[in-house]
Amino acid sequence: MTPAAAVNDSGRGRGRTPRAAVVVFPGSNGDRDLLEALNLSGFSARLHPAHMALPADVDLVGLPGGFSYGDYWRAGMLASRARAVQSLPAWLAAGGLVIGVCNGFQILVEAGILPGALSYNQPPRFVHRWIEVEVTPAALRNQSPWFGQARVGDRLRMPIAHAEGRYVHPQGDDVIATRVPLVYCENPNGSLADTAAVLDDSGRVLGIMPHPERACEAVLGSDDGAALFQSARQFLTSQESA
Amino acid sequence: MTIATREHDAQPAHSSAGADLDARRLDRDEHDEGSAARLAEAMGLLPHEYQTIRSALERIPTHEELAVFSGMWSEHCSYKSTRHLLATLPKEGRGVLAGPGSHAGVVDVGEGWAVAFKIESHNHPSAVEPYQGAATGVGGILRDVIAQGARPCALLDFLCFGNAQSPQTARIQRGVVAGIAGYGNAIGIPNIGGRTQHHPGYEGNPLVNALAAGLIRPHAQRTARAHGTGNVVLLVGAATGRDGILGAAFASEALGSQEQNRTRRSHIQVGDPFAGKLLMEAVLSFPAELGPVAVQDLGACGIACATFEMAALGGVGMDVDLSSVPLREADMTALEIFLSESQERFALVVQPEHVPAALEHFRSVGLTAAAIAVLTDSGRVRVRKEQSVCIDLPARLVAGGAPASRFAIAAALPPLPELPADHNTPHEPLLTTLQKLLAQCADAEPIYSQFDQTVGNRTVCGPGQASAAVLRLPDSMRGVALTLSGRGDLCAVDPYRGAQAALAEATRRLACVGAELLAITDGLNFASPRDPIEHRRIAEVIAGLGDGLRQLGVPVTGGNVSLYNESPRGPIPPTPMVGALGVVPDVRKVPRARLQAGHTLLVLGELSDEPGAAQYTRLRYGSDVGSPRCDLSAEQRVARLLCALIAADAVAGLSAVTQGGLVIALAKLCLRSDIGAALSLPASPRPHFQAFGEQPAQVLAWLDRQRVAALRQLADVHAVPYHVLGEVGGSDFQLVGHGALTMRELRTAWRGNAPDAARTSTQRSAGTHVS
Repeated sequence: MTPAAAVNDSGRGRGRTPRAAVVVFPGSNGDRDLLEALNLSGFSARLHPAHMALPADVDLVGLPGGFSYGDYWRAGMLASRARAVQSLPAWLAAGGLVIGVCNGFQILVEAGILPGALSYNQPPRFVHRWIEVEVTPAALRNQSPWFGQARVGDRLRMPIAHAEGRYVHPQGDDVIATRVPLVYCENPNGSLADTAAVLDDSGRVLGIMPHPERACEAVLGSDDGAALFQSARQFLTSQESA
Repeated sequence: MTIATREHDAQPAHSSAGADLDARRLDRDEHDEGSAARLAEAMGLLPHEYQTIRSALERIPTHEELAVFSGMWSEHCSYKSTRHLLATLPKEGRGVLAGPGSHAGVVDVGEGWAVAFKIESHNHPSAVEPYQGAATGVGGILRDVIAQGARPCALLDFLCFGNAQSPQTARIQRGVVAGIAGYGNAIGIPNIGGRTQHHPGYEGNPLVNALAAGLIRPHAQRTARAHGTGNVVLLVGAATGRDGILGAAFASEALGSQEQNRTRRSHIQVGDPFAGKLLMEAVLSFPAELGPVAVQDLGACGIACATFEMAALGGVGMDVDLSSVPLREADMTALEIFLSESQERFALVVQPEHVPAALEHFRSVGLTAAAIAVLTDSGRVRVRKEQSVCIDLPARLVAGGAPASRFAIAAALPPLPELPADHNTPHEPLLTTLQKLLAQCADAEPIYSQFDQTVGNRTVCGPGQASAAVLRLPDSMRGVALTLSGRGDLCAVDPYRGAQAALAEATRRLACVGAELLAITDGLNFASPRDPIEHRRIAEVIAGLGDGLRQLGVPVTGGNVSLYNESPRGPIPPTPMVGALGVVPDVRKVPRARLQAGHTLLVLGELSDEPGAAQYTRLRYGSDVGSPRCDLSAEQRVARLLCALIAADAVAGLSAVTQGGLVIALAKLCLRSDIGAALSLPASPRPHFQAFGEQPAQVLAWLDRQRVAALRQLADVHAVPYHVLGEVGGSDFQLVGHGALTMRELRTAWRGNAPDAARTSTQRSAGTHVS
């Protein structure tokens, strides 16, 4: 049962528009992009300030890209201490979905909600590029709500824009086999085993380095990213009607 | 630390501004006429400028007042050497909502939206401290757009460096690119296009110009015009420190040697994109019910410029209390506070009853905010610190009162350097020239891939994707196109035609995405106006721009002039940069397709082998020779054809022929599409000029073979000549009669000898934080 269902509001049941909150940290710059992408994919999304605990009435929480608190220290480190992020484990226990994009992914890793770490790119520079990622068997392994519409081997085109996106983990192989749903077709940052995204144990928390929210309309270069948000919406609405 | 250093003395005619600011305090009782005049001169004021001040004030100015004049009457703030020339440029045009004199020009783009846009230079700071110089240049131009009331939506950058192979260029280029990336990526404004040029004339004095554009509802514009006696001036954003004091005066001098430049670091500002982001959001979300009456960004000359300019514009006075300015360092003098160029600050004028709520609006997000001045009806800006008044000057004397400088100008330029007599004889195989030229027009991907190009979700075409950048308007399929053009190498031989060639290229680039040129912002970069020949070059560039703009029916809505761009090696080539804006009726129709096997390639516009100045002639002769080729009427015809082709979906793709000429454009297109082509050009006695001569008004078009007839028909209607070049396909770049290169050989040349920007480490700004 999702948190929204738990509060038992009037919108429960088939066809209800799932609700989403995009957390805005000081220094976030992808908050509006993520908000627009969620709304475009059938969510009712709103912005939520990082200094407040997460609201119980939403089904999905998005942590956007950007440079939270300036990221003058390790990216995401300060943001992982914000009240919204500190309240995330309790919020998750009620059954919602979480996506952290780019800086949001870094924050999830720093908060210990996703395994591993994101280190400086190799070569060590900020890189923006349109790239392709491929869906792996791990995406479908736990029936992750983020990949309901995906098939293994699908290629998704979206932009990357980060300086600290090289995924590292001490027990590489195990994690890769079970937790990495997307790999780069051409590794842009030295990431371990081409890792582009990581799932938590439940498959409900997705950290992703590329920007699916910037790939939701063909006229902007690609609409492949929309599949993730649509899968999430489909999962949430079908869960309620089940 | 003193305000400025004393070691530097650029040239006798123009002594180091600010050098003696801390030398003696000239109290009104103590100093006499002679010492005040000497101090004025030491601060860079010319004798006739001092006389103007002296007779307007009817008393001896104080030390602090002279320092204010030194900054505010610097070239950077007053445009005293160029404003009579800039006055000749056309400023009126369809859709222009704000022109020169506003923070940024504003043009109506339809569907209830307008675009605010402006270009600005940060050349001198970037020469001394490339990372911070470039970063604060980005921050500064963004604040201009924000002050106008617009939400920034795009950045573009125009960079000119010295020899690609020199270690100094590598160092400066790495820093500049990292600085633009460091600020722009963090504040979250996409960088959607740029130019990077290398020429020995920029060795030691790089040009770093940034263009910012923002979206605004036409009625939501803000102004710097302060009014309403009793209204209060708020200073908001970061606290004020000692960085960048008298940067404006520094920017108005020639650069010294690398060693001398190192001593000028106290003039350099330090950027903090995080504070910039907080401030941008706070200023843009400032509640309408609180005003503001006026808004001004703080840039050159800091609080001094903001107070004097706002008061002068509104015809009011201000009583400023520097004791209330939030400081980073406790023991700053009045002058240091007043002239500090600390970044990430704005001034807002609000009604007194709104002060508490307005201050809270900024403080609640961690920014500092303080009331620092009250509006009066005196027409004077009076400045005190702890009860002692140190400055009391008429606002309009300081802001706008600088007398025009009267530097000598040469009656004519030296004769154009003509092409050597052997230019009619081919000197080497065409494909050899292609490889050499391609290395000079190298792939800019290692640079622009360091910039976030898609944040904000509006980028339809970013760097390397089309001849101009295209952004989509909110909730619409209408778009705006932006592009930069300009060629110092062409202006070095013929400033008048070189400037027009920049307009021609802008027209051509915009037309390739279906946009008509609506307005430009001009970034004019020149050497010293005190040199009569350079002065003539400045006048010729502006005359060329003005005549060209009138012919095209296009206005200038604002821009920037940067003078004294010279290093011990000499002056830079005169370098006008044109930032062009157009409207794209439907972004879905912008042709973005890469070449595909089977496509037919054509060139639209006249094929010609007329000799002229081009990248090629510099390569062949080692210097800039010949005259640039330019034909604005032909550009207009081609542009109209392109817009018609796009509206009719008649082509698969379009690409402007620019620097390097026709065959370079073909090679780059094949490289970007990763496919070969078999092409032929008509026989010519001057095949190199046909291939690389940068002939005017040429555009590449490609499409399926069976659609060529329809294209021909439209071309005939628009009286544009065309020539079928050949077919796309294979893995060789073949020029019939000249041989072939494999795509691999071509790519090696393209990735050739540019400084290795890819090695750049992601440098972190060591900026101070707001609390």
